[in-house]
Amino acid sequence: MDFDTTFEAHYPGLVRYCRRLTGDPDAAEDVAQESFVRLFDHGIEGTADGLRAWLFTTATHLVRDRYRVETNRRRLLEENPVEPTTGESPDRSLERSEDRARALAALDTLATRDREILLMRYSGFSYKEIAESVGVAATSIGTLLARAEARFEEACVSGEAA
Amino acid sequence: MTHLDEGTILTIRDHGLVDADAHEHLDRCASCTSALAAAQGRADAVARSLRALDDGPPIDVDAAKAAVRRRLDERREAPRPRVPGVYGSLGRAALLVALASGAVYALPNSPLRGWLAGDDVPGRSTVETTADGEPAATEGVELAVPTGGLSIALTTAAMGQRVEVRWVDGDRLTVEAGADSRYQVSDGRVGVDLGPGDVRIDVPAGNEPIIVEVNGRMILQRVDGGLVVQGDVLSSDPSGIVFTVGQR
Ligand SMILES: [Zn+2]
Repeated sequence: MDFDTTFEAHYPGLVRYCRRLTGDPDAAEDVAQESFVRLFDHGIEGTADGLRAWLFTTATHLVRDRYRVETNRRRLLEENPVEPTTGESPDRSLERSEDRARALAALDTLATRDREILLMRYSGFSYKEIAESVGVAATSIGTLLARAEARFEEACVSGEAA
Repeated sequence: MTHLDEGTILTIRDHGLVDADAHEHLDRCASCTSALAAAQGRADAVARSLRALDDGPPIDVDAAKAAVRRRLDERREAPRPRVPGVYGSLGRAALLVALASGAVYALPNSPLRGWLAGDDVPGRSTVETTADGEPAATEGVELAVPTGGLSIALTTAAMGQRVEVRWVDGDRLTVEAGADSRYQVSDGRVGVDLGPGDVRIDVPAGNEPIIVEVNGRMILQRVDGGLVVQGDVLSSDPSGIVFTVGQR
């Protein structure tokens, strides 16, 4: 397996997934890098899709194992407001910061497994891949995802109203 | 008329496999068609909300690559626990995966198997089935832990599940659990996301401190030659203790 090709193909997407999962850019990079270390260290081989699924699953497990996501998110929200992008109006910057806080808080309302299912789906994985990753039957993903989406959106909307 | 359930509607939305009947129903049911449209709308809304989380510093792929290379070099230079062999005393239907510390995703029944191109993870794992090739009833990890502390954390344990801890000679820690369990092994620590079935943990008698946790609660601690038992004990004898998982 070619280090550079694999890395360039999957690293940015994995970091974005980990940002969503942890809400913490530093933790996201750390988890994504550790996943790649394990991939190469264990000599894992497979198709591009197979490796991608392996990396995302490994990252999901690392987050579950290492980061107490819920408490982290709250701390992060308090400590790290979104940095304004250069040239952005203060209003727009505030709005982005609020959107982000709302989405993080909404993810917090989900059970760990539901959050993982939601985020893997919105990273483009099939129900079968998600099922294998979180360890449930593929036939139940639709139902679990429906519940996770409904709860997430409800929490986003009620956050908006607040 | 029975309408499609929400799981089926989402599966159709996300281009998953459903019965032909479901598609037929959808073709002639206005209510399910509008439910599908609503589900599509919700997907768009969720995707939009999630994009708010993508903000962050630009991703520096080259720097990350260098960091991963550094970590790999460090790991390869560090002394490794020696690769354990296959453990001999398991029951007939048992299957054992012997893994070096850290090699965790290559368990025979784990989803990873399906993702891999080959049949096995090359390198440091050893996989063996029973002679008659029966499907595994239990799986486990075994690692060599010559000295030092160990922590074993069992999560998603069900009430009434049986956890047996035995002291054994030698330097091998083994943890066996139901076939649906998932393992994570890192330095001196084994995490098991438990599936149904009894759990058996063989702990080297010489290692200390030992901590066994179930669902985040310590059930057993061995430190300075003393034993602190906090779990619900079913039975015990000098060679070990059998716990049952209590209410959280
Ligand atoms: Zn209908």
